[in-house]
Formats: sequence, C-alpha cells, structure tokens
Amino acid sequence: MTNIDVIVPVVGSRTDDLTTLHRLRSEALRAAGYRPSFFYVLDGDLPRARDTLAALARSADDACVIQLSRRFGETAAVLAGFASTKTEHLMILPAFEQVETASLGRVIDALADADCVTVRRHPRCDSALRRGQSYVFEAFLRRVGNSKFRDPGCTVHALKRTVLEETPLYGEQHGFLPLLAANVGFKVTEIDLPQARGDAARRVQRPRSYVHRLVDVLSVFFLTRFTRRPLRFFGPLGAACTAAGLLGLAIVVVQRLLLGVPLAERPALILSSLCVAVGLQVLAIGLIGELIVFIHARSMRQYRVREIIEAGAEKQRAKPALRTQAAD
Amino acid sequence: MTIEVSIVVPLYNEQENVARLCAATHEALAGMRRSYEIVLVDDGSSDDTVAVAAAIARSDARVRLVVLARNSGQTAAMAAGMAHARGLYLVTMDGDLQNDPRDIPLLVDTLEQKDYDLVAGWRMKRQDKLVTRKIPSRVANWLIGKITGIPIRDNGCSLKAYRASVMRHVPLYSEMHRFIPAMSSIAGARIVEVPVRHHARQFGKSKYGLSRIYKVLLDLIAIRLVVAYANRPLVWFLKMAAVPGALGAAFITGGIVSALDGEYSLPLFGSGLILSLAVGFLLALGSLGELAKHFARRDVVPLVTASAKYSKPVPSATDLEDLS
Repeated sequence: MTNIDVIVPVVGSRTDDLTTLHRLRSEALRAAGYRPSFFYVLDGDLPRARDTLAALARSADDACVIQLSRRFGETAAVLAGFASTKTEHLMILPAFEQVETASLGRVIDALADADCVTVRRHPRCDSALRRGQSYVFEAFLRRVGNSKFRDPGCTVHALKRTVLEETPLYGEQHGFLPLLAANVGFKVTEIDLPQARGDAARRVQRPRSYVHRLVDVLSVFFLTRFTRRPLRFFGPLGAACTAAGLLGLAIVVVQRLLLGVPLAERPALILSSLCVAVGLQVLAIGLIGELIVFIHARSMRQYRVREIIEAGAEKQRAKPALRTQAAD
Repeated sequence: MTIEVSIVVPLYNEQENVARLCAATHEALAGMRRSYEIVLVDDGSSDDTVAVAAAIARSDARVRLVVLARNSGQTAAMAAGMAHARGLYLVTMDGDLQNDPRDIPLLVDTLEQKDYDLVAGWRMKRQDKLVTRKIPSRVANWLIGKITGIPIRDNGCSLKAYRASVMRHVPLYSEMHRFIPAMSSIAGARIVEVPVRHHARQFGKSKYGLSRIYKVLLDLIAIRLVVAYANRPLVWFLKMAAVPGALGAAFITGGIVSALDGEYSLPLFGSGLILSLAVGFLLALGSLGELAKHFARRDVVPLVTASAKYSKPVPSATDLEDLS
C-alpha cells in the first residue's frame, strides 16, 4: 500500500457530515490500494466543524486537525495543510462530496502519467441552471486565462509534492491550481468522474461569490498572460486613451484657430484632457510594472526544465551552471 | 576538461532540422581547435524534436539536450541553454539552419582577439520574404537603434557570441532576446557587429509573423525605460509629465486670461486642473519607481567592468573586413 496525504480545507461555507465523509473516503482510498492520512485544516473559528473533527481525530488514527487562528481563506488553508504533509503524492479534497467517493483512487492512479490531476464532474446530475453557470465560468476562463480545463469549479486534485512547492499560490487561487501549475510548466491532466448526488443538490451560490470569482479570474488572467510583460496589458489601453485625448484636443484647437469656436465654451476640452491624463497614467502604471519586472528579472522563474539528456546520464531538473538564480 | 565554446540552440518543432544542424555544426567546428559543446534546448515542441535530439545527445558526448516542461518562448529557452552551458564563450543560433555554423569560429575569434563582450551577427544577404520579413525587420532595427541608442543593424539575427561572464549580468526575461545587445550595453558590454551568412529555410515553418510588430513596439518602450532610466526612474516620469504639464499650464493661463476679461471658463480651468493632477500622479509614480529601485538593495544595472563602457558607433563589417 502506498501512503498518501490528503489535505481537506474546511472553510465553513460548504461542509458535509465530516465523520461519514471521512469514513467513506478512507475506505475508498484503501480499496484502491492507498493508505491515506487526512489533514483537515479549519479556516478560523468554526465551532461545529471543530467539535466534529476533534472527535474524529480522537477516534481515527488517519485524521489530523490543524486549526488556523483566524480566517485566512481556502488557499492559505491548503498551504497550511501542505506544510504538515510528508508524502510525495498528495490529494486535495473539498470538505463536501463533489464527485463519487468510490472513484477517488482513479485520481491518484492518473498521477503515473502527470504531475497534477484535476477532475471534471461528468456525467453531471445537477440542474440545467447549475450546468449553465459552470459552462459560462469555464468558457470565460478558457477565453481570458487560456484554460483547457473543462470544470474549473471542481476542487478535487491529486498532485506531486513539487507542484505545490513551485506554483505560487495566494489569495483565493487554490481553485485555479491546475491552470497555474500548467502555466509553470507542470503536466496537468483532467479525468472524468461522476458528480456526487450531494453536490448536485446544493443551492445556487450568492451573487457576491460570483463577483469574487470574477475578480479571481481577472487576477489569473493577468498572472498567466502579463506577469513578465505588464506594458503589453497597460500599453494598448493607455496609448489608445492618450491618442483619443490628443486627437480631441487637436480637433478643438483647430476649430478654435480656423473656425473661431471659443475654447472656453467646449466641454469636449475637458473630456479630451481627461483622456490624455488617464491614458498617460495607465501607461505609467505599465512602465512601473516593467521596471519592477526588470529589477526582479534575475530571480524570476521563466522556465522549468523537465530533463537534461546527455551521453551516459539523464538528469532530472539539474541545477544550471551559469544562472543559478534561474528557473530550477 | 574545460569547454571553451557552448553553442546554444533553442528548438521548437524542428524535427527535420536537428540532425542536420548538429552534423553541420560538427563539420564547421572541426578545424576550430577549441573544445565545444552543443546545448540543444527543446522549448516544448509538439512534434518529434525531443526524440530526435535525445537520440543524438545520448550517442554524442559533445551534445546535451535540455528539455523544457512547456513552451516558454525563445528568450526563456535561450536563458535555459545559457544557464546549463559550461563554455567560456556562448554562441546562440536558431535551430532552423538559416544561420550557418561556419560563421561560429569568426564570431568566437572576434570575441577573443578584439576583446569584445558581444559579437552580433549581421545577415547582410538575408534569404527571407521581402514584405513580411525583410522590410518589417529593417524598420524594427532602425527603431530599436534609435530608441535604445545601440545601432545594431540586425537585432533579429540569433547568431551571436557572448562572454559567459558577461551574460551573468544580463537579465533575460519576457521576449527580450531581440534586445540582448541593448540589455548587454547597460551592463557595460562592448559590442561589435560582423556580417554572417544566411540561408533560406529548408524544412518546417517560420514561427514569426507580422503580428509581433506591436509587441516589439511595446517591448521597445519598456527597454527604453530600463536601458536609460532603470537607475533613475523619476527622470523618465518627469519627462513623461512634460506634455500634460505644458498643456495644463496653457489651459490654466487661458482660463485666467478669460477670467480677467470677465468670462469664467469651466472647460479651460477644468482641463488645466485635470492635466495638472495627472502631472502630480506621474511624479508620484516616478517616486514609487525610485522606491522599488531602492528596495532592490543594489544598483539595478550592474557594470561588467568599470572601464568597458560601450561607445558609439558599433564597429561594423567595414571595420572588421580583415576578419571576414
């Protein structure tokens, strides 16, 4: 049997009966040939979940509970759990049943040919409205984040230890782990598992959570596309705005000189000036970004070496000879 | 054994070219009387490039293959190759056989004998399409020369030779491989340009198109900032504030004149105020840049050697006729 550490962030908003869930998951993974150790990370003060997990930790020898001093968010909870894990292969599961528990072993099995495995809930058994929401979210993420994953809302992942070590995660980016890991250079695959009945029965989320998700997606959009070239994001916006403003100013000045239209009576003057001011500011923000990137360029991760092949020996991710601060 | 020359070749979908490239390079360097290695860097190819290159690397001790986990771009591939190269001199070239390995000894000799830090290849007789490659390239090179102040005629030529010790000081990121001479110059490198051969592509497809022009333009603005102002960013933002400052002052003056005539003008005062605020914002950002530089806790532009500052113009083919 292979040991596997499982991180379960308990963030409060969606939590099943953790005692039952723990028993089912433990049985499923053991049946698949794995010996799991569960690390439940309580994100802040959650009295009900804490009492349940405290009882679980006393009765089960494969459960460990980590209590965060206050609410830090799901990503911080995952990273706190990761700090306590030891196995080479890891699993991250939500505190509720998202996919059929009996199939969880397949997620870890798929690690044989990948660095990270994510799951698509398929076939789905929830309402058309929920599926529509998921489709819109997936399409949006595919468009702005170059995501190839078909169910970004599913947070069931199996991964090698090095993925969490080398993929920068903060804020609420835990949901985008597969996309960010692929962006770093890890091989990420997606497998299909049937959606759990309990997951399908959940109510539609509140509008606030969609706003949070939109902000998260925009942050991922910037991180995946423009981290090393901020001016390519800010430049076109700023240049277009400045050009429009200068054009407007040129028109009102020409009209003043040739047609005698007094400048003092032109609201267009204010609008054009505003465009120039805003455009230059946006450009300047891009330039500050470039300066920061340049200053930190030597310590930036720009590539990831999969292997080095040479006569007589093959090395995995060898240390570079010249640029020791580079990606490895 | 110390390796003198490392030839770094980024590869992306070049399965037909890899074996020919290695054979041509060995043939060209046979008479060079220097120890060398070829560092192939696979930049996430989707064809059989890795398989072909791996077979060569396993059977030939002079060839190493660095396989990147994903397609990371030419600059990152070059940086990876340089990071894993062991030579005292580094030579970069494309994997499409458009560069001619027979030029490598000339580049390395120039580097060593003339005591330069960077020798850039210049494709005098370029074998590419006129409209989509040659004309945009000429315009881009002219612009790059004007904006960066480093008048290299062929920034796009990958065939270049460097002292490995100098490249340690040159930050390679984003798609800055086009601007290595400019980036090197801020590290104090001495640069020279020599004419090299160029061949038409025989196999595979070009990975470049006209779509990169706007990216090059934006990168140019960025490189201008870091080349000239990385150590004093506030000066750049002061210059940037000149236009809104002048316009704002003109509008406020116009507004005051109107007010003295008894006509209070909201558009003139409002515009002047908005542009003046923009000046303040730009100066604040410049100060932020100074702060970022300050907390880097070092000069962001390290010099290679204090006495080896680049001086214009770049010596060119005519200066080096005896070598070619």
